[in-house]
Amino acid sequence: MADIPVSTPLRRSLGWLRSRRLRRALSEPATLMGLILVVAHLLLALLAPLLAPYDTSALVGAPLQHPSWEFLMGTDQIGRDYFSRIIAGGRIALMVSFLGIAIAVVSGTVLGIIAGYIGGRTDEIIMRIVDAMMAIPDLILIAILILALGTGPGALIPVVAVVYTWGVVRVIRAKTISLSTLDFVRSAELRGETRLAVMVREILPNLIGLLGVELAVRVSSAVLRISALSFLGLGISQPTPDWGLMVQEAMGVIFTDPWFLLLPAIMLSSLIIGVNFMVDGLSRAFGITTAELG
Amino acid sequence: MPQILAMTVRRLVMSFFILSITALIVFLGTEVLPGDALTATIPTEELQFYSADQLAEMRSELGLDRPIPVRFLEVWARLMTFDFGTTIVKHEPVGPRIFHPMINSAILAGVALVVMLALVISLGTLASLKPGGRLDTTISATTLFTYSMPDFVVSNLFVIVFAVWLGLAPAVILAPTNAPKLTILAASILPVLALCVHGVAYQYRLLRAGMVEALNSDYVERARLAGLPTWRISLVHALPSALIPMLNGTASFVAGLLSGSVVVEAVFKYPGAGGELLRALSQREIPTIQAIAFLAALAVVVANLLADLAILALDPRVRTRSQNG
Repeated sequence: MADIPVSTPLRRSLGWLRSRRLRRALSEPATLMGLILVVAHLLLALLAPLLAPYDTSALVGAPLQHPSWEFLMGTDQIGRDYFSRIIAGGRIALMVSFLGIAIAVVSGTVLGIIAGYIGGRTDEIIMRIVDAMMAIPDLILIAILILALGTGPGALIPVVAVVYTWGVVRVIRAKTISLSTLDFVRSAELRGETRLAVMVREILPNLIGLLGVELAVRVSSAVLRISALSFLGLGISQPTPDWGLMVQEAMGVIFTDPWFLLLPAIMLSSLIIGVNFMVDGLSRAFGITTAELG
Repeated sequence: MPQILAMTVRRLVMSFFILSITALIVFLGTEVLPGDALTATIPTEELQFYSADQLAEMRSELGLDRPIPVRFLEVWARLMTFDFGTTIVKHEPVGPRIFHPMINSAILAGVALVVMLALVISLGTLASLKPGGRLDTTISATTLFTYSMPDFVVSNLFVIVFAVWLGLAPAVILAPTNAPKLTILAASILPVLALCVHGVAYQYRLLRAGMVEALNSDYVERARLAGLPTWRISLVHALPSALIPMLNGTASFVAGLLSGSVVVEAVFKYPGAGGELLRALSQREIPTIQAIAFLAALAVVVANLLADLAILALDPRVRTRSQNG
């Protein structure tokens, strides 16, 4: 893990899909399990409306029923089908996180490359803003912004984007600085290419692996934070099904029916565990070091 | 030596500057984004009962009709001097109100920090003895697993296992905010553990990477050839420089710890600043929110400053470099 990877120029084909590194990564059971969990979760989130036997907010039976053939996971406190709510419980959080993080990764990459490559005063200014944004614990920052903007998906996406841009800037800047000293960047500069061309054509392509990792890691972290906020009553609100919210509702019956709490907890944890193990295996195989992920 | 002093002063000035930007962010988030402090404080359904004149009058009473830069400077000056003002509706002073919760949270985070550092250093040193060995793989996988467990899930699992099934600990802490600190400390075993489960992995990975690198370096090879015992090489020679990557991650780590403690406090009803923040958020008590957010950021900035100084002490290379972004 300590070896510093030599950056490889971009290969335009999708040959990496069949590469030895990928096969080696997937031969590790933990990485493969992570990938399977992630794919299963994505499919479930996409297909939940088709798979759900009942409407997620319809009152379909007596409250707090035990699992039966009619209600696979029983019913919740007010008599909604728990199975339908469990399989749909990650959709909003995932969608909001994914779109918000996509914006954060794009803007963070732009700022990070500029800070790292141009350097000097520009770098100084960008990095002090980064330090300040990252000094406020992200849960508190999200809570403040939610207070101002509301909790609809239309508000949560920009909130996630604003909060998570700065971590991306830091990672991309560090990688850009280390790339800037390498020969292929130097030779592009000596060829007389403009700074913009160097940033877009020489540096950006070499960040793609790192960007993939950033996207995955930060989506999982944003899902965690949004669930935590829903759990605290500040995020996604009723009647939308959400795992964080469901854990919170289940705390009321924790002494009698603990599985109401365990089911959404397992769903949320398995998603995050899947992402982290997948990313861990893949980034090791593709030579992205722990330090780079800062 | 004067160089170190100059760097320390530079870091101090920088920290002050960062805190000022933080104050600006908190101000923008709480007072400028849609709706000012007044409309944020009054619930929407009550807002219709106020006439435009009444609202304007209340605004000028609160000084909200002045231009934004003036208001920011005022908020900035207040936060920087730890004068947190009074709440908008009840005119209660914020400072005394959040004092005890703040101390309680500091105790929780402080104890969790010490426990975590002890865990991280022992696990990281153990794992690095044989990189890729069975112990290393097990610890790495375990910490990655616990890192992936949401903090509110871990806290609830602890409640189910220790309070509901085993009956060993109370599910929630019933101590008032101003209870003797030892009482609160005694009740905080589960919250501290819950924070550690999630928090250990981040620092552990950085330390392990640092240890592996240090153990592969020339100076450790030299110590090995000189016949020093393994434990001495690990603890005395490799550990100090291996701490550096971990110290570099201090800001993210402490910020994460504070985010986590808001959640953990809520599950265990710990009488800390997290609960106070949630109450302030639900009642839209802007001055309290500003105060807690600012103090949390202050904790992160100070921790980061201390870590930077520790790096200066540990790493001679940083001292000779003129600039270090």
